[in-house]
Amino acid sequence: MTKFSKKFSHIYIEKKALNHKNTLKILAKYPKAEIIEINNYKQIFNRRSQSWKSQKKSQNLILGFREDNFLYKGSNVTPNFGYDNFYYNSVVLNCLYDCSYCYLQGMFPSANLVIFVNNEDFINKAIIQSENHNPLYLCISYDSDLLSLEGLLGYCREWITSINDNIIIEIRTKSANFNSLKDLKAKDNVILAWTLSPENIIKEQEPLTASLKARIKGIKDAVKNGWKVRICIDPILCYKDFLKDYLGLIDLLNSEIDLSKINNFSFGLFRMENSQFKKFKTIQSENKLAHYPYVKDKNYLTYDQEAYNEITYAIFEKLNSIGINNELIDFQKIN
Amino acid sequence: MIGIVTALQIEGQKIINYFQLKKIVTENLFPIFTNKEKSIYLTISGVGKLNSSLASLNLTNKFDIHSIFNIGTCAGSKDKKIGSLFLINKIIDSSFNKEYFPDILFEHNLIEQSIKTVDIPANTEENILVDMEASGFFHSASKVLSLENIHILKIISDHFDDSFFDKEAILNIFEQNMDQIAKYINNVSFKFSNPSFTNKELERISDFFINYNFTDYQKQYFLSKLKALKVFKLDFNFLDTYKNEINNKTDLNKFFNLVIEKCNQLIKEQND
Repeated sequence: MTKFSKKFSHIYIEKKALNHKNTLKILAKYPKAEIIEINNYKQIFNRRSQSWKSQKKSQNLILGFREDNFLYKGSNVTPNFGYDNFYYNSVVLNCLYDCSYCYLQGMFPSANLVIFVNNEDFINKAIIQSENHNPLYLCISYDSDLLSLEGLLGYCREWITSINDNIIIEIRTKSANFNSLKDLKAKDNVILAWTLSPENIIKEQEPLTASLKARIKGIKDAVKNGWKVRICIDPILCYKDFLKDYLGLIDLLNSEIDLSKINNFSFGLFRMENSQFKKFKTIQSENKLAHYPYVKDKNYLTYDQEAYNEITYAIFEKLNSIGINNELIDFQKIN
Repeated sequence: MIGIVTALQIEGQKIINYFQLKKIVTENLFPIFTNKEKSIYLTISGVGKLNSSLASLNLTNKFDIHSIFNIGTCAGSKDKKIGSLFLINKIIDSSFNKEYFPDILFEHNLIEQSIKTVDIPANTEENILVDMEASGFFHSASKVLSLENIHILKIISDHFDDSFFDKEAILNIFEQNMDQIAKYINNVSFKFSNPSFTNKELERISDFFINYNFTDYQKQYFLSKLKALKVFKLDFNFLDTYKNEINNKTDLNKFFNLVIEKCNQLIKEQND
């Protein structure tokens, strides 16, 4: 019977990354992995004819050494939270999770995980950039979920302990991995952002991610330890009675967490760039999400204005009713 | 269907016997053997990467191959035993200075190795497996198949010397590895199923298309909507309600938009 190999059964390593301390640390955790030497991560990552679906079932690891492109300017559908100098980086490409709606499957040709081992160079470049862009708002986990990899990499800890006050970093996660940072002192310029969905959506559309209960526990612990926390309910998926589930989620959060201590709330309807959607539709050909008749808004596919109006009104009303001011609520729109 | 490419008939002989393959007499370009019940096709390419490339394309063009295997012999250094079987995870093409990487995603018990593909038989010992087909085979197969469905299995037949030409020895090394080879083929020949139409549904769609002279683009778009209906577990009964008379292109386009809008409406209603 066909059985997929275990995660990281094969580790491809760029020659320049072979002796880096992070490479050695990672290899020590996967002593049985088949090691294959490569010249450049793109030899594996950018190959033609890769199957995202199969690779997600047996994800392999590519260790690279980044020499350029340490920072990117944020796109117009990523929330900038009012910061003009909004950047993100890609110290890791792809993610351990397998969310059906993830834009990465339309963006990257491979589902394998790429880790650039020279995290210190990403940090140094961000520090240099922040001298001219004060403050520099930086998402360090946009094309991945760094906190879910903290046990393997320890990158979040390195960032938190290395950056100066000119840099504000956001670490966004669907993990329950706050414990790996628990011993650190909270910093004002670090925002821990949890992406949440109703439990039924987590079960159906977000395989391998932490349960809602576990994520809420992570939020509670972070708030208790004085960290700035953002709650992101994004993407919101529309289906029969979806409002009941999403408003129920807010009720649940209100009953479990002191929401007055949350830094802010970010919401967004499902949206995907047109060319990414085409690939997404091929990969997720059996998923209803890929076949819904979305409307085109600029170059993005999303739900219609009616759905947008319905959910924004309901969410603002719900949050206002529990004492959350509009200034603390961001609702992402395609600009 | 499973495709197998071997360079020489002597390399394919034990596989032909094992899977009880019969020669397709009408195939002249490259010999092809099959057992249709088992959905296995084996072709003999001849020696060299160009032959292997052409034979694998020929096979995939003629049959609905979803997993393909290059199985053959190679030279190996003296620290490796004659008859050792390897699964190839990296191919270095010596003349084009190019590297290829099969996607090994399925569990297996074989030892993995890199291989170098050369243009003329190698007689100087190297610390890497050496063959004459792998790069050509992989290059072509990866144009038509997803990477995880392309596999290269090599058995050491010689230590860069003339023992390769001993036919009896070749048969023996295949004989001793045949169970492992068959087990590997069975374990990794896997295909994701996609929601496709039943014959009854295809008939209905075909009937519908006969009545309306849609453009190719409209047909494709309409089919994608029908696939969406299937994913939402909806039937196509609504098609029977249309008896529109189409007199010109404008009528046709209006009708097309009407049907697409109906599909969208049904999907939205079913979106639970």
